[in-house]
Amino acid sequence: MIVLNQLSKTYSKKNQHIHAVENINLKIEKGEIFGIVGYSGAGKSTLIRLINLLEKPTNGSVFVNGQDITKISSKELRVVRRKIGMVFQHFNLLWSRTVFENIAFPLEIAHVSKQEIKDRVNQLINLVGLDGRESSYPSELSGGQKQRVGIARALANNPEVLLCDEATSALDPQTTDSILELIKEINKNIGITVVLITHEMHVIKKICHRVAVMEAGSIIELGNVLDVFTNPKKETTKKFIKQIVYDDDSHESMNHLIEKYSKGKIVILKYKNENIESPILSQLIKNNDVDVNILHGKVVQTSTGSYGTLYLQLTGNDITKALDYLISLGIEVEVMN
Amino acid sequence: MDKLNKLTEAFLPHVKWVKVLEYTYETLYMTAITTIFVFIFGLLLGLILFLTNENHILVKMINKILSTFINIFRSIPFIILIVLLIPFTNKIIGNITGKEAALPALIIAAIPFYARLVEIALREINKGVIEAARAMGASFFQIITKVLIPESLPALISGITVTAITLLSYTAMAGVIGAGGLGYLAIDEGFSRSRHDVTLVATIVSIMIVLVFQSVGDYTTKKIDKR
Repeated sequence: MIVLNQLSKTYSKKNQHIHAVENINLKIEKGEIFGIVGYSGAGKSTLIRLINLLEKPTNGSVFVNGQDITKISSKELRVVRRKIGMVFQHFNLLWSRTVFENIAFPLEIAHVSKQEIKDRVNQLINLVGLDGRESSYPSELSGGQKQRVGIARALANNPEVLLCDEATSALDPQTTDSILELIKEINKNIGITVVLITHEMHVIKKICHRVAVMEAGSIIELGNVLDVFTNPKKETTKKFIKQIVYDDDSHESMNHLIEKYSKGKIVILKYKNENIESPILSQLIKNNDVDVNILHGKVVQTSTGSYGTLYLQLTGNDITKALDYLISLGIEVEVMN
Repeated sequence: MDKLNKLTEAFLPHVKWVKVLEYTYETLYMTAITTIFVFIFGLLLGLILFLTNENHILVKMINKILSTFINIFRSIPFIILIVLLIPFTNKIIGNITGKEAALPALIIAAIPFYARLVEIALREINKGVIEAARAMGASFFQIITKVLIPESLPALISGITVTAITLLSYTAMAGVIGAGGLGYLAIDEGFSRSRHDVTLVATIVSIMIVLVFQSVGDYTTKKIDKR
């Protein structure tokens, strides 16, 4: 659906060159929810704006639906943009227009007839769950409702791609979840390709199929959400995943555990999908002469599967054998002391 | 009416209400015509100023030139501008006295003033909204008519209110060179002839006009501002 080819964007100011995006190659499949995560300044905001050419690339090309949009005229580009909806962190609604008129805006731009606008807007208002608010002004809406208007507006021209620029970063956690739920549903129902950027791993976990981690203008890691979460390679990725998984697994709390439970071994188990569903611990105890004390555990659900971490204290005579047994099941085992 | 005449005779011996009405009309005429012109051309100039404020070197140059012109015209005291424009006024109006003769100077003085207010109003617009419109495929013209103007309308209206009030005081100055209006009434027929009652009435009428302008402007701004 979207192919970025050796894409670069450099901002030049006097003699300074800032490489916001550097030589990015990326292929986003039709119908997937693709997440780009990175700290502020990583270049993700520039990258998403390169997809609809709000930013002109210094180098490289952008293919949307097989068409190189860096090579077309500005008039043709405006037509292409109608098929690429965009949702913004700060909603960017026109305060002078009502909910209805805001959603009608992209349709007016595309010269759709009045009657068609009316039908389409009402349909969209229903889709995003804003029935009864059509004549409210944005100032009368909550953040979540404003973003619903933003989403409805982005979908007005039946786009094939939806770009979400930190769409939930200005919302509280609960509203964030409801907006993510809505995006997920839209993706499922109309098969729209979603590209979203965020600094919250939670967002990636919740709805993305694939994720790219960005740092200093480059993509440093890319893959299925579950793979990246369970097997992060780069330091930055690990830091991001910590946001979600072991939020209380700082060094200090680890040392504290080791001190407190000095007997036996303290191990961390990391396991995926298939293991979650089988009774591993009871098997472990039955087959080996060990006692198991559960210190801490967590299961993380991502949209492509789940995985868990478990902190155990093992005591008894068969610790080594027990560990071998766990490893043989494909569980990642880390002994802490 | 009889009562008014008696009161006038007693307290304002030199005031002829018919004349006051006539001069008020002249003032309103000058202000109204000028305000219409200034609204159109000031808006245009303000839009150009806003749109040319970019990092593109050639575009930036246009912006600089326009900006300099505006600053120059805004620094010339109005009374001097009128005198400077006498030959020009004579050429296009065919006359240098009367209410029409004041128009060129008024318009030329007020356009740069309003253009600056327009520019400020446009800068206040959330850049994200413009970006959103671009992302939807809006053309340059659509961005102006559907985003820039509607989104800055309250500020444009309060700006034109301020401009109209400024113009009102300019028309008084224009009165000095024989343009008529309340300024002429206050200075030539009142002050110069030591008829202070006439000056007083002219001043009060001016104040009333300002108050009306301001409240109409405020009301309209409030009505359309949905922020």
